[in-house]
Amino acid sequence: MLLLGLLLPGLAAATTEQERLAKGEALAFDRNAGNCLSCHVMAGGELPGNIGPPLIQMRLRFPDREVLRAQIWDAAVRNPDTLMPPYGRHSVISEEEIDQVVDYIHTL
Amino acid sequence: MRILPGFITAITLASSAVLWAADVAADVAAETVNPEADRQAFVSFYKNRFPDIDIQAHKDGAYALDPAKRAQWQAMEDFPPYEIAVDEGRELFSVAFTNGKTYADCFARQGIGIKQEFPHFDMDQNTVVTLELAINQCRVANNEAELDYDSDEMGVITAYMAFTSRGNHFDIKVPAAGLAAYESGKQFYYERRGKLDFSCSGCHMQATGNMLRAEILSASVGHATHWPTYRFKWEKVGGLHKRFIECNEQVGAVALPQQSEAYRNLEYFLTYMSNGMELNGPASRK
Amino acid sequence: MKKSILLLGICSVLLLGACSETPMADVEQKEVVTNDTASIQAIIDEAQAKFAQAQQQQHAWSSTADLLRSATAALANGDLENARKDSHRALLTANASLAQAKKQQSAWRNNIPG
Repeated sequence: MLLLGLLLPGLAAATTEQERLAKGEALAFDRNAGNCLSCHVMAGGELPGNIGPPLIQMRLRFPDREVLRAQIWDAAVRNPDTLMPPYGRHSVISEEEIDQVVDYIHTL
Repeated sequence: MRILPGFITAITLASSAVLWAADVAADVAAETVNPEADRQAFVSFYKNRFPDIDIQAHKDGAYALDPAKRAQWQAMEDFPPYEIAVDEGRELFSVAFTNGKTYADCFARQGIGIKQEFPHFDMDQNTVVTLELAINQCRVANNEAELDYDSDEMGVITAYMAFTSRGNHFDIKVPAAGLAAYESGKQFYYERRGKLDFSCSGCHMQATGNMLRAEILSASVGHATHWPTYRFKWEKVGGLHKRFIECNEQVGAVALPQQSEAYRNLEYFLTYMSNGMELNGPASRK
Repeated sequence: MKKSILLLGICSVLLLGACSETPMADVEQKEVVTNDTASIQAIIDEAQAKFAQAQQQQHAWSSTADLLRSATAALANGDLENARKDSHRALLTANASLAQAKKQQSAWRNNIPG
């Protein structure tokens, strides 16, 4: 009983984290939100576009989560010619949604 | 306290409008507009991007770039979905207006095989005249009501007129008086637009040949050759401006009305870029 | 960083006067100021005016139109929370669309290849 009491908060946290990632995943695939698949190969997505690089090894390519977030928020900062929509600067999705997408993309 | 922010906003709005107008004037003056040099650079761009594809092949859009999709499309063209539209258009074209005249009276060569000269810059009206606009001006001149640009009637008449122009080659001219209209169409083509921040050139130059999900992004040289087009998505024949609206909406922009000045100028630029290309309208697309 | 820019943007439009007196105007203050019907309506009006201006420059966004619709509907239903949220985003997108229009007046030339 005592052990269960100790474990519960940990379980609850894991569920919340999973829910958060699931939300991020849904947003990433939603054609009216992230729609990442239009331009990127992405695990679990069929008929991807190839305008942007495949979304793989993201933690290796972006050790710093904030750099990845900045890229999704406004990729034009690093490359003015980018075709990537400025999801944050143009409020394509909300700040909270950006955080959820970033968390999910970071796991790929 | 509430009045102040409103007041400041009003001033900001007014001054930015003035600055914006000044920018436009400066831009036109700053550069020498040379449509033919533009066109040659435009064509060279696609020759370099697709060295194995004959430039004329781009009149078939994405089907020029993907052999598998081309084969599917050619099978579809065995029974062209626009054939009925051409027949209906032929019939409507010859029906007399209430005053006894017909469309043929409004156009050079009785309106047969003339689409390669549209759009053109009309000196008297000081504006770009597309085939659709000319059709409506013809109707008004003969005391008939204008057609809705999205109507079946406009679709079939332009389909017939395009059909009689098949095999001709675009010969668009930009006189000195038309340079500003051409330049504004060119700017529209290269400007980023909508919340997704895409320009026409972003998809159809920078990323041409790449896949957007399952769709291959076509070249812009040839974009003007095959209109009106029967799109299965529309389940009818529609004009180039209907497609502009679709593109603008896809990038999250508020689209403009068909035959608005901005779209006519864009058509002017885009069609000039296709000068020398063979007309192959009406066509079918997914 | 991004949030502070966002806040500053909303702040500067909303509370131009107040901001200059107290540059660190916090979120609480903003909530208080914008949670009444009149203030939300003022933001909707401002977003509407800027949307119209963007439309004149052929750079309006459909997202602004959608957000204006939903903010207006929420306000009419007394749903102040969503009215506030959507009116702010409507203003944010209207401002961004005007910024895009202004920038593209010269930036379009950078998109010409070669």
